[in-house]
Formats: sequence, structure tokens, C-alpha cells
Amino acid sequence: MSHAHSMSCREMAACLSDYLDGELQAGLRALIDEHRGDCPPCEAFIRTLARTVEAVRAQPREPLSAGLKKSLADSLRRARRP
Amino acid sequence: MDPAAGDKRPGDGDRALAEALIAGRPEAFEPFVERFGPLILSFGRRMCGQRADAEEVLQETLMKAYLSLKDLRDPGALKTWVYRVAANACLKMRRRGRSEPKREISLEELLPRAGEEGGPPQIADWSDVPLDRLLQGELKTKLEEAILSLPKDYRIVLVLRDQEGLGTRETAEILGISETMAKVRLHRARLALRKALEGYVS
Repeated sequence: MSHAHSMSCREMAACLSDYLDGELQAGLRALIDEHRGDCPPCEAFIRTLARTVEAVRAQPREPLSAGLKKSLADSLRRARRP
Repeated sequence: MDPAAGDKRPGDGDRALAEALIAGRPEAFEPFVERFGPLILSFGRRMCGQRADAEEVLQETLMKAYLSLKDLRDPGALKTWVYRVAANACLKMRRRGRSEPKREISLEELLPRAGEEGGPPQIADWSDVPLDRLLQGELKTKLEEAILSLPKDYRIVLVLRDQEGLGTRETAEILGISETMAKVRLHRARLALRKALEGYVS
């Protein structure tokens, strides 16, 4: 990655999750926005990291059957304190 | 189960549910299972990998969380309470299962290396691969395997944050670690998954 930026590629890589989560302060966010516009490898890195997070978030939940729900509620009822 | 009329705050529904359970009202059990059953089953499946283990985690979690509710200081924090019990159940389950020594993920291994003759690294941009493709067939399996191959201390942060949708603060509270540590582990877990997917997608 290029070193001709006000923020190095390595410095930037360390805070990319905060960047993607919108938890970075405005000044740092602006530096990354500027950096990625000038640095194609970093742009590809950020985009593929974002895609990875999207894929993890989009994984479907496990189905829970009505039978198992009933069995769980019955167990709790039996354990109910008098 | 409905909170009192007026402004609803986050946790109000859980507060009413926790109070009903603590009071021993039998009609609270179904809503408790409805609320947390699907969440903890998915959490257990993602942490342990096996459906049977996830069901065991779910049963143990709901029972232990219920029986220990008297120790819950803030009934509005029911969700954090249940996930904390579930996290302990999962970590215990992993210890009982195959050997999984503690290890750290090095940031160095996950960042791009310089290209030939010190030039910029070549990074394939596969971000246009449709989500559907990442969530089906071989890639779905690879993603699940990559998540399960993360060290458990990293995997649990990833699962709580990115799959269960909890915030940094809640995640840190559940695991008894600092928010900074939760952020570090999440970032490295995500970077490790990106690298694992890169090998298959590009």
C-alpha cells in the first residue's frame, strides 16, 4: 500500500472495524475516507472486510421447533420455586 | 407482560418479563422461551458447531438463568444476564469437547503483505460477490468452518457482536472484559474471516 498519505495503510487497518461500525471520531473517519480514495489496495481491503461482516451478519438463525419450546417451558415450570 | 403505559425504554419488556419470572408467575415461562429460545439456540450453534450441543446449551442456559434470577440486580438487564449464562455454558461445552487451547490472533498475519520488490500489495476486490452466494453451498460451509476455527475468546466476541447484534458495551459486560479488548478481538476475528474467505472467493 502507498505511504504517501497522511495516515499510513497500517494505521488505517488497525481501526477499520470502528470505521465500518460508525464508531470512529469524525477526524479519523475523514482521514480514512481520504486514504481509501487514493489507495486502491486499501479500498479493496475495506470493501472485502465490509462484505465479510455482511455475510456473518446475514447468516440465518437456527429454527426452534414448537415441540422443543414446549419441552423447555415444561422443564421451567417443573423447576418453579414453590 | 406489557410494561406500564408511558414512555418505553429499552429493556422495559425484559424488565416486566424478569419481574414476572421472579414472582414465579407460571404464565411467564412461554414468553421467556419465546424471547430467548431462538436467540440462545443460534448462539449455541454458532459457538459449538453442533445442533445437539446447541440444544444442550439452550436447556442449561434457560434453566440456570431462571433459577439464578434472584441474583439479578437490575431486571431490565435480563438479556445480558441470559447471554452471560449462555456464554459460560458454551465455554464449558467447548472445554468438554475437543481440545481447544487458548491462542491469540496476530494482527501481523492478517494485514496485506507488500507486493514484489516492496511494491503495493495485490488485493483482489471480491466485494461484489452476492451475499446469496456467500450464504449457500461451499462458501457457506467455508464461512462456518472459518468461524469455528477462530480461538474461542475471539469467536465469542464475533458471535455476540455480529451475529447476535449486541453492542460493544453489552458484549464486554457479558464476557467480563474491557470494551477495548472486545473491540480488539472483534477486529481480529473479522480480519481472520476476511482472509479465510479471500482464499475461496477470489
